[in-house]
Amino acid sequence: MYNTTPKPLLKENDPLYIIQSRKTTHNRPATIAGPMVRYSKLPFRQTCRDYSVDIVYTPMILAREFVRNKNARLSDFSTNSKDTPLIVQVGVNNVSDILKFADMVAPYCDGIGINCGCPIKEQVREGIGCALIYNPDLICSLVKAVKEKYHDKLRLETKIRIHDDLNQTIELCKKIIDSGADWITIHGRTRTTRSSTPVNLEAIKTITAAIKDYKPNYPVVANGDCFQYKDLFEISKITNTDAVMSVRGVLANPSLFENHLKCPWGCIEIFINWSFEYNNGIPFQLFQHHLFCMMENMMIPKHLIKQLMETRTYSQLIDWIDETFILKRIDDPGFGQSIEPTYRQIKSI
Amino acid sequence: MGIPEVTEAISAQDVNEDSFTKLNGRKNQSVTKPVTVDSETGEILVRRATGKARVRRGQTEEEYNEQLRQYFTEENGPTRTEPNFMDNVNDFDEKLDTMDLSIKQNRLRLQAYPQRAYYRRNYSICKDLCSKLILKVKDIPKIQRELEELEYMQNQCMLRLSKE
Ligand SMILES: Cc1cc2nc3c(=O)[nH]c(=O)nc-3n(C[C@H](O)[C@H](O)[C@H](O)COP(=O)(O)O)c2cc1C
Repeated sequence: MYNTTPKPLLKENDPLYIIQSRKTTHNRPATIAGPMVRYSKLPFRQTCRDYSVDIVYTPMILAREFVRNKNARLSDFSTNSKDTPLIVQVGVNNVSDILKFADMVAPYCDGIGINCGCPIKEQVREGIGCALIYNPDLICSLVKAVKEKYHDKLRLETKIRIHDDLNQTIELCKKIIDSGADWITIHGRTRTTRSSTPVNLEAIKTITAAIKDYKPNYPVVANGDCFQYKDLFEISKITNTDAVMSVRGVLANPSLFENHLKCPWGCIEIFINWSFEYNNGIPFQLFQHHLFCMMENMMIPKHLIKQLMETRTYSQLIDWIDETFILKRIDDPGFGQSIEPTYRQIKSI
Repeated sequence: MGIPEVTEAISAQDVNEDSFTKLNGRKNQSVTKPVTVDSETGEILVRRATGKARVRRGQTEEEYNEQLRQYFTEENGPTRTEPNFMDNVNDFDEKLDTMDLSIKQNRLRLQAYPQRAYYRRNYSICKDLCSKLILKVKDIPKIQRELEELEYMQNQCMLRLSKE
């Protein structure tokens, strides 16, 4: 009755093709900006795309709410024609919801990712997020249901955390592969590892080796602690994975995959531009927090960051930036190009 | 498909005692395994390690069809914000007339128009958008902050226009 046909997959937008081919075509692993609840909204996604990120995720969207509630849909998912390749990540605990969810988002994205890694108690209690890695049968039934319905017309990924006993993770991955998932992303931390503890690349390596042994060339994405361009190569080399997903790295510096060691000022200009261009009711605090992360990464002096955090509205924030720095607009020559910020003269009293 | 029998929910801890307990120094981190009560509607039972069970209501076919109708015909899929969509002032006027402005999300969407004009230094447009919006929302209770921003932009625009 409604057109739920998935968007056609071409070389330019098929995430599986991109993950499998970047090493050959671009001499580097595929680059992915992973999901962040609240943060990975359209303006941020577009900013990542402007800096060589191949594939971008939405934040986790709860299927249960999305298929039942218009307001949840309005606030959880907005997109546009430039927002591709896009993986819509879903938090889900039953087959009925994921099938409905897939029907509703498939025409507007390039793949669906199942969140099997979120450690937040409220979700785990519902059997969502990393609860799923302790429930292989359920993950498999979710994957199978979607793949049996859509086959190769819709890409499906699972993003997992590791178990304390890696054999459990390996067994899980084999089952996920048998169920038809197109690729697996492995976040090299257990459910209880703090994000301040370094990611366990050896674990990802072991699991990846077992996966590739089981199914040669099966695509695997490594996730955890990719903060710089060199990490992209190191992580992929150590783990023998096809692609690397960065999350906190791109939050602080969306340009990291273009070998900027810190966030360039031009990236701030670009992010601000998209934030105003695509603002569809994005809360001010979210916009402000993105700028906080980027400016902290650029090592903007602390007293200025404090001033940034004291602004209360979009317009106040823009006035503060214009008083403090030179902020180019999209039509200004050199927009988005500068590396260092240009400070305005301190106002004479 | 019939309704499958509800089997006893098991926590993952029962499946593998030491999969994630002592190693990280925290105990009793049991994980819920939802049990499907009705696979058609998605009604499920989530049961905690404590034994407490909660039912998550399913969605009937009619309810889902109604959501599909809303989503595909009224909402036209997810919200799409293409570059320059806010250049369309008629669009703003139409939304101003049709949207329920007592809903915060709707007000924020409209406020984005003058905010963008302000950022782009289109002060004359911004001032007009602010005036229209203020007229519509000024009597809504508890939106002091929003009104303040609109008035702030309006004043700044007048100041800047007077200097041109
Ligand atoms: C603010 C924030 C929000 C996150 N939200 C999600 C999410 O929605 N879905 C998900 O699978 N992981 C989520 N994660 C986990 C990240 O996707 C990623 O697995 C983790 O941060 C490790 O990668 P990193 O070291 O590159 O940050 C989130 C992480 C952060 C910091």
